Amino acid sequence: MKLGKEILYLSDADVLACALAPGAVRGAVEAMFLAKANGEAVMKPKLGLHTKETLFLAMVGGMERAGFAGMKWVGVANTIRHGNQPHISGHVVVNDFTTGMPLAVIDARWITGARTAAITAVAAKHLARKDSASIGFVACGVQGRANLEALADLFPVKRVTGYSRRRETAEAFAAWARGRGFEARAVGTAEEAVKDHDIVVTSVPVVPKPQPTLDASWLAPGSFAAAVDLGFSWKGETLTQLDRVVTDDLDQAVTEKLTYPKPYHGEVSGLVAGKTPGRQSAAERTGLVFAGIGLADVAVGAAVYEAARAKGIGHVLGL
Amino acid sequence: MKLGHDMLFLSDADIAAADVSSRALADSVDTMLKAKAAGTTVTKPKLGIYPKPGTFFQAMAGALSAPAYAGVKWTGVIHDNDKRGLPHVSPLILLNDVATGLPLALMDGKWITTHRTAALTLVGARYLARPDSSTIGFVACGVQARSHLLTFREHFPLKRAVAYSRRRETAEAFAADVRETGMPIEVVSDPRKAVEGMDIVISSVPESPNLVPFIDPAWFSPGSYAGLLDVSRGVQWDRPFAFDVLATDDHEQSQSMVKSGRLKYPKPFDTDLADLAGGRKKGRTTATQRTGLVFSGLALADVAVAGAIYQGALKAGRGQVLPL
Repeated sequence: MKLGKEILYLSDADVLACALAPGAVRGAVEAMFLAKANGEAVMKPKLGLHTKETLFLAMVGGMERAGFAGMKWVGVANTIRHGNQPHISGHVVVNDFTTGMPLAVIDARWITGARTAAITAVAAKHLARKDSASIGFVACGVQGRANLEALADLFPVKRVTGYSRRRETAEAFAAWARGRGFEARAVGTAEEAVKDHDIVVTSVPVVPKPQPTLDASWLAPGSFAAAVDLGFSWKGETLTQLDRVVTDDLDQAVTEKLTYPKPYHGEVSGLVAGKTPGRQSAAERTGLVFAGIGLADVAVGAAVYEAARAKGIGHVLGL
Repeated sequence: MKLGHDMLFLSDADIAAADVSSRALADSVDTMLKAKAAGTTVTKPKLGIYPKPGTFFQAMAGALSAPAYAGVKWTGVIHDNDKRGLPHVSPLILLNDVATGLPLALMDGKWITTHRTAALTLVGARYLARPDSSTIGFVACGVQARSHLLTFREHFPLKRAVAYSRRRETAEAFAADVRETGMPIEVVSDPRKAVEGMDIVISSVPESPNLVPFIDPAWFSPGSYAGLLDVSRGVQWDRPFAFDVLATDDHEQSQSMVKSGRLKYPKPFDTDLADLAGGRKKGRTTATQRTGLVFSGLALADVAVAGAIYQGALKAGRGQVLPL
């Protein structure tokens, strides 16, 4: 491939063929957060265009030391879709940091799931109990699956509980999880998926007028809750009961209007760099409320690009 | 091609082969501006990261309702790329369907960036330049000077051009190309001579960490139109100036650039392109007014032009179908 003349295009199937392991994705995201903590990674809060049907997002980031910059551009449906159409679709563009030249255009679906789950996993290393063995999921879509894979790579997960507004979605998720060796069941209320779990992951699709239904008082002592959905499924005030809550980017937490109403204890980058204290006791209840940052898309996009190059996957396009 | 299954890839050569006329480009930009004035478009100021002097990356995003395309242009802007034999910018454009959010096209952004910029300057000229403008001066003589000369020749009775560049050989190379087309052109070593007495002035000074503004605003003559597509970075705005109508492409974006220090014009702009196209503000009203358009490029113009080219490519069967 010739810099400035050609780029690599990776379809969703190409990305899946790269078969990046959860540990590799987590490693890429962890390295990015360390760079962010050290001031070596630059980003801006997301740019959002609200149309009647779709929210379009542009997310940008650059890491000089790693040598990559990039942007993710996705359309997010304003209504929850059931069927084959993805709720989120779009692409990640990966560029060479030094010359600015584009290197790759990559389907965003897998990266979005994997990078979000990796943010949860990196935070969970510092905020969840090491012996966390049960995970409850509120919403059981792409994020539910990606988060289970990422967390099971780190914790001795045995028991999985899924709740979805549509029972059949939760049943399908539970069947998928059983196929991977977990004791998994679908439940009829969100409360059952929250109570009595070591880790709780909420990923209710973000829509313009979310209905908060979850109460943090349901969370067990010693639990860690990851709100992948910007916290919109939680009654924000109840989250203040938690002993410590972090986010992925403090500036973006403001612009994205995350539901946590108090100052955060810090960023995931601070946890990784040892600047922000993690869990202090087995009884603490901890939380992560976040919207996902472009830097994570760039970090994972770059890892996918490198894997594809190494394996000879993808379509070379002449610019 | 099926929505949700494939998208179209258009290379720079595919796009150049479409050979869309400057009139058609300006018309699609004008239509977009009227829609913007009517409130049926959505956009935000550019989203940029500035990791170090001489290096930045930016995303420009906008959504149109008819045709219902949303798009983003993403590019790095690297000042010392000429040392590496690479262009300063190498933009890509992604175009999506508004109703579903699904991708429609991936397009190289070089041709579109160059030509949409000339289309914006031309649309500004429709409202702000004298129709009988016959002389044109260029400050900086790169890609933009070339595309602007080609564009403006088609729409104004140009008889004479003057070219200035920081490096004389750049201006000479530009002038040689222009002379071949039969247009008289003079190369000057004093930028003042490319501004003073000219009916139209096109300034496209590249971004540079150590640029010192060198254009005295008093040089612009009565009756002239200045297309300052370099956000007027070459103009000494700390000197007295007397523009009668100074427009920008988008009030909100320009305000955000003033805030970040990237745009140095010290006053509110009199109008913006959507105001002019939508008829909310008058452009030139007399033959002696000094007018100008200070701009950095409008995401919606990229989307409008990319959309028109995408439609043309679909009809002509141009491009490469990529699986999603």
